Amino acid sequence: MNLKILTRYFNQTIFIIVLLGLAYYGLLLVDSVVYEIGRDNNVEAMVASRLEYGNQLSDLQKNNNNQFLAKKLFDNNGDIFYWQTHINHKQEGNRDIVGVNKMKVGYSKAKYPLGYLVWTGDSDNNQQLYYGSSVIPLNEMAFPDHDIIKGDENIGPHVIWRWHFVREIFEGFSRDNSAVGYLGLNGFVEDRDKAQPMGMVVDVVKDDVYDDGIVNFLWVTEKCMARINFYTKKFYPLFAIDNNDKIKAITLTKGVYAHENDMDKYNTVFKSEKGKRRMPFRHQILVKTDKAHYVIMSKPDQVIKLQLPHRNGHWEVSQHGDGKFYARCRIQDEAWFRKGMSYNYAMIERLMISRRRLRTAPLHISDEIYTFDATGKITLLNRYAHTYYPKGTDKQYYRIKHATRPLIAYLPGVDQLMWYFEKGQRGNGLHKTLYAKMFSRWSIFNTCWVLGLVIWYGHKRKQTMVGFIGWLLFVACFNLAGGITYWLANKQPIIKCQACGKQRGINTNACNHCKAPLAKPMLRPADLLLSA
Amino acid sequence: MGFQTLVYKELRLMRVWIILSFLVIFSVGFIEFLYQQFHVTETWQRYSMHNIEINRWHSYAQVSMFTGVLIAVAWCSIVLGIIAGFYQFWLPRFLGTWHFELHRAITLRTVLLAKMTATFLVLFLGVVLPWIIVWPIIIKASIAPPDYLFSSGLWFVTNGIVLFLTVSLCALSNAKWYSAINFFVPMTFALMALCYNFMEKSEAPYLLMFVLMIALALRLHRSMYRYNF
Repeated sequence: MNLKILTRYFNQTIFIIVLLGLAYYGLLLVDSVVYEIGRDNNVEAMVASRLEYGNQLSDLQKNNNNQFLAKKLFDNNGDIFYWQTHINHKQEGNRDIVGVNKMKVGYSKAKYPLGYLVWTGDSDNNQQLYYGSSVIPLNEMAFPDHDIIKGDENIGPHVIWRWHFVREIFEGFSRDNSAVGYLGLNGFVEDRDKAQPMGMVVDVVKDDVYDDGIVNFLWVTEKCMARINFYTKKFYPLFAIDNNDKIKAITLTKGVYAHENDMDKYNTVFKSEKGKRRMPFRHQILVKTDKAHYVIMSKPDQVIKLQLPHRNGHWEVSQHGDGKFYARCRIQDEAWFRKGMSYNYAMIERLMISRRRLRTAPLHISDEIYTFDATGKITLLNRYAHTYYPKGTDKQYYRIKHATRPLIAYLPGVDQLMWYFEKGQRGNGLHKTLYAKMFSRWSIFNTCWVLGLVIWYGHKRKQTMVGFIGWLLFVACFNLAGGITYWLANKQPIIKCQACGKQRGINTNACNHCKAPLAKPMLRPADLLLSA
Repeated sequence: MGFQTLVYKELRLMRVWIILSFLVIFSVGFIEFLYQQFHVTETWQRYSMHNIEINRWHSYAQVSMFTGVLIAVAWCSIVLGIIAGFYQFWLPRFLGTWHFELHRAITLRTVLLAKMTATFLVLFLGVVLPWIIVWPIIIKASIAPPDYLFSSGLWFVTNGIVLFLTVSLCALSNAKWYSAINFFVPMTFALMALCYNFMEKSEAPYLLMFVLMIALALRLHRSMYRYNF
C-alpha cells in the first residue's frame, strides 16, 4: 500500500469524522428546538413538582417526595427520616421529623442525632479548579507571602510565589525580581534543580489554619495535598499518594463547630490555631482519587482509606460526637440534577436540553448509611430504595415525555461523550445503565428505519459490496447521525443502465448488475459565480 | 531556481504585512514595558494578601502583564496566516494568474513547497522574530517573571500555519468557493478553540494541532494535483 492510498484513506477518515460531528450538531439543534416548542406548557408543572406538594399526588407519591426531600436524614440505627413543615409550627420555624412509616418522631429543635452532623461529600463540581479556559493562558497562580504596610498604604507583598506550570514547582521572587527560593514536593529549597515536581494542580483553598497570624494555603495536586505557608516557609504534607493513583478532587467542609472540650473526640477535624473567628474553626477533608476515597485525619500520618462497597453515587463522611464515623451514599441519576457545570462546557450544555428534559421522568433513589472504623472497614447500617415521581402526571407530561423520547434516541453516544469530556472520564456504571435503558427501545427502532432508508438509497450507488456493508455497520452504530453522514459522503446523481435498465450511481464505470459500461453523465450547468 | 524565485516573489508580496505585524508586536511589547516601569507598586498591590478573601482560586489567579503581547502574537499569527493563504492561493484564482505562476519548469509539488516555505518565513519574520526581540525586554521588567510563557508565544505560530493551510485548501477546492469556506474555515476555528480550551490540561491539544496540520497539508497536496488550473 503506497503513500498515496494511505493519504486518501486518512483524508476520507477525517472527512467522515467531521461530517459525523456536523450531523450530531445539527440533530442536537433540531432536538433542542423541538423541545423548546413543546416545553412552555410544561414548565409550570415541572417547577411546581419540585416546590410544593400537589393535590394530584397519591399518598405513595407524597411519601416518596418526602423521602426525596429528606436529604438523607438518618439516626444512629440507620433509620431514615425527613423534615415536614407542620401548619401549627410554621410561625415558629419548627418542623416535624417524620419517619418513612409516617410516624412523627419529634421536632427539629430536638437536635436530632445525625441530622445535625456536617457531612463532607465527594463533590466534583463545587471546588473544581479549571484553568487554561481562556484563549490566552493568562491564568497564573501567584501567591503573596505577607503584605508590607507603609503608613496607611498596603504596597503589596515581600515575595511573590509563582506556580510554574511546566516545572510544577513554586518559584519565589522578591521585589527586586531575584529568585529567593523554590518549593517542590520535598519542601522549600534554594536550588531549583533540587525541587521535585508536585504534579498537575487539582485545587487550591485558602486554609483557615494560621501560622503566626498568616493564613495558609491548602495546595492540592495530583500527587499530594499540602498546607503551605509562604511567610514562615513551612510545608506540611497532609497526604501523598503513590504513582499508580491520582488525586481527582478534594472536599473541604468548613463549619464543624465542635466545642473546645470535645475536640479530642473529633480526630477528623482540623483545628484552627489563631483564627479570627469567635468559635474555633474546623474542617473535614475527603480526598477522592482514581481508585479510592480517603478521609484525612487531623494528624498527618493518620489517613483512613475507605473500603467502599461501590463507588457509584455521592459519598459523604462525618463524625459524631461520640467519635463514631459515618458514611452515607445516595445513588441516583445525577444527570437528573445537573446544575453546576464547568465553565468550559456551559455553551455545549445549553444545547444539551435533554438533560433538563430528564426531570420529567421518575427518579429512582437509593439511600445508604454506613459506619466505618479507623481501619476503613465499612458496615452497612441500612438502605432505602424509593422513587421520586414529579408532579407532572397529567396529559401534558405524558405528551412531552412521549414526544421527546424518540428524539433523544436519535443521539446515542453523544451524552456519554459529553459526560466523558465534562466529568473528566468519571462516568460510572450507573449512568451507563441509565442511558442504556433510555436508548434501548427507540434506538433499535430508529436504527431499523434509518438502515432501511440507507439501503434504499445506497444500493443503487454502491461501488463494492464490502464498502456498502461497512457503511451499513457505521450507520447501525451511529443511528440517524450515521445515516446523515452516509448521505453527505455518498450523495450523487444516478443514471439508468442502457443494458439492463437499472439505476446506478455515476461514480461507477460499469453496471454492478450486468457489467455493461455506463454512459457518461450530462455535464452540470455552468457555475455563474466562478465563471463570472 | 524556480523555487527560490517563487519564495522571493511571495515574500515581496507579503512584505508590508510582515513589517506591520512586526511593528504591532514590538510596539505592544514596548508599551507594556513602559507601563511596567511606571506602575511597579500598583502591580505589586494586585498580588497583596488583602485581595485574597474569597475561598476560590479565581482570586489567586492574577492577570499577566504578558496578556497584551500574547494576544498581539496570537492575532498577528492568525491574520498573517489568513493573508498569506489569500495572497498565494486566492488572488491567482480570482485574477486568473495561475498560469503565470505555473509556467516555470518546476513541478506542482515544488510550487506548493515554495509557497509553504514562504509562509513559514513570513510567520518567522512577522511573529517569531519580534517575540524573540521583545521577550528579554519584558521579562527583565516584569515582577516574578513567568518564563514558561515564552514557549506559549511560539506555540501561537501554529495558528498561522493551520489557517494558512485551511484558506489555501478552500482556494484549491473544486466545489463552489462559498461552500468550501463555509465548511473548512469554521471547522478549523472550532478545532482551534477546542485546543485552547484544553491547552494547559493535557498534551492532547498539541497533538490535535499537529494532526490537523498534517491532515490539511496532505489534503492541500492532493487538491493541488486535482485542481483544474
